[in-house]
Amino acid sequence: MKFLSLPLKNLRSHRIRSILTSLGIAIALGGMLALVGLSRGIERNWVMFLEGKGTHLLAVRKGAIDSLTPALDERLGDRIGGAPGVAGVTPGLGDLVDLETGEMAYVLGWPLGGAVWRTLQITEGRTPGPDEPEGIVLGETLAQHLAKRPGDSLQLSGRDFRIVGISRQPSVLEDRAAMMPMAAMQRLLGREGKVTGFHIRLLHPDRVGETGRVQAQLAAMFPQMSFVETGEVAQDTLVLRLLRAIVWSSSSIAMGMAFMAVLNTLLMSVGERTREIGLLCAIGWRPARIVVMVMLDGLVVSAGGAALGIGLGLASLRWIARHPRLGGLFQPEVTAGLVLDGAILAMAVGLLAGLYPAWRATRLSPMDLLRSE
Amino acid sequence: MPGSLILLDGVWRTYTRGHVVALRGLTLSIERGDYLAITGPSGSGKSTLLYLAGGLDRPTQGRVLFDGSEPKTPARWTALRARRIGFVFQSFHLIAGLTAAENVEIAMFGVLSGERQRRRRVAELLDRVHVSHRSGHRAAELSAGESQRVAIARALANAPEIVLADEPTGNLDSRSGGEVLELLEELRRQDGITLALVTHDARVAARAGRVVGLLDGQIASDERRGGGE
Repeated sequence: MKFLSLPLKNLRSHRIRSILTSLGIAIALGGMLALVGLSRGIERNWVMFLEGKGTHLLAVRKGAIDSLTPALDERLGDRIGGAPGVAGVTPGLGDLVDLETGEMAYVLGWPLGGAVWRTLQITEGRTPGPDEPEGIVLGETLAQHLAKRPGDSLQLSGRDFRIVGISRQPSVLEDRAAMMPMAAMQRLLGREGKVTGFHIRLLHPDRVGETGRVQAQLAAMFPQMSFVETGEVAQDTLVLRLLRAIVWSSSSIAMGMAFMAVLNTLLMSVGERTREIGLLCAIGWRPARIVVMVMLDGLVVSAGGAALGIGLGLASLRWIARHPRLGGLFQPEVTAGLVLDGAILAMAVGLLAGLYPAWRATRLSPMDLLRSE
Repeated sequence: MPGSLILLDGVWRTYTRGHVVALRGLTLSIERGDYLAITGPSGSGKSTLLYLAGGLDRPTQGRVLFDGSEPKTPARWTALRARRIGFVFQSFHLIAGLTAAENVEIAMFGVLSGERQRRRRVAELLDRVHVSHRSGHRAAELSAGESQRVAIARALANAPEIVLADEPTGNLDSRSGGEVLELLEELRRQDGITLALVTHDARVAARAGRVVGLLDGQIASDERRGGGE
């Protein structure tokens, strides 16, 4: 028998309790992985979407919690475009809109004939022409999901639009979105003359410090607006920061509860094994060995929970990604590093939760323990 | 090899909870090779004496010497119990989830590092106490007599110089009790170990070479006999 097999034998003798504790850790870790994976996926897709548009700086209203809030005057674009170092500005208007199926999809509005339309990889049909102010392009995933092709019509928030093209985009955000001319989008939302933000392209983005310089200059010129570098959108956008805060706080609460579950289990175990611990003292086990044994119990419970939790987390993310109503809105991102961090965290929870019961076990008098019959 | 193996020198043990004085300035030398029976009525301090002799408890006053020196720290006593002192208890104290063989093997962790070496030693010990046929059975599946034999094998795991036994036949019927006692005596003869046992059974005490009678925490009698050899 190996020393390491002792915790397994002990946990096996309290099978149901050990499994339930592992399940508690698994649910906490699985939930954490799913939430963090979703949050990172959303961030990554934002960045991919902006980079795909050739955007160097994104301008939005300062302090806007919802980055989709159409709160900026469309005419500001001309003034931003006139600033030194700026090569071009494209206004954008985006929102979540009801589809005819009852689901929701992103709808993005850009000025008809603008440069942004040329970033779309059209696989069927074309982008809307000047004579097609109500024409829309569907992302490939959305088109497949709705079984639509160019020439079909699509109802958005109760209004009919004609599909003129299908595009394939690397960002899932766009691949499950509908793109339409800005004026049509503003009418659809009842926000004529308003936009969500501006995509700003720089004249010399490769020059060292150029982006920061133009950013500072624009911030001084337009104090009511925020100018965010594309790569930092995830860090700077208030809604994404709030999302991250919610994800980490709910994950911390879940892991805290898992910690208490392991602590409770190990304290019960130590309480039930007083005679056994007394015996181990009597046969010459050093307190350190007893501490290690109790802590290994916690480690084994949490390792089981970690393995199960990783499976649960990945399965739920897979389910979300494939769910017809959510798949396009959330494209989860799970890396090996995240999984490893989660597993380490779960095992640390088990080890730390074992510290107090282990310390308590060594504080008991062997004679009292042996006489506790 | 004559000489004091364990010396309890003017030992007092009082328990503040309940204001109980278990031992009152007791002095007792357990000699090498002794077959010692400690007898006395309930509450006379027999078990307390045994636990003090094995370092499981510490005296309130006085000192306990092992092989001429006083182990002053719990760690020193722990090391002695791991290698030089074996314990046998009335209620066996086997770990229910482990097999007979594993119950013996746990006493070797930290002393014998090789798993194969431990297994060989366990097999040898279980054979000596005549329960090798039950080595793979869990403790809960063993009879009382078999359990005590396994507990004796565990006490002998690291070839101790002394075995301290607290009512080793107390939970056994007379036949099993007799067999266990014979086994302890046989092992004592073969290995030359010192045996100190606590008993309230006069028949058990009668087999020992030395009988110490306790009364109210003090030695009432200390009698050497020709038996027990």
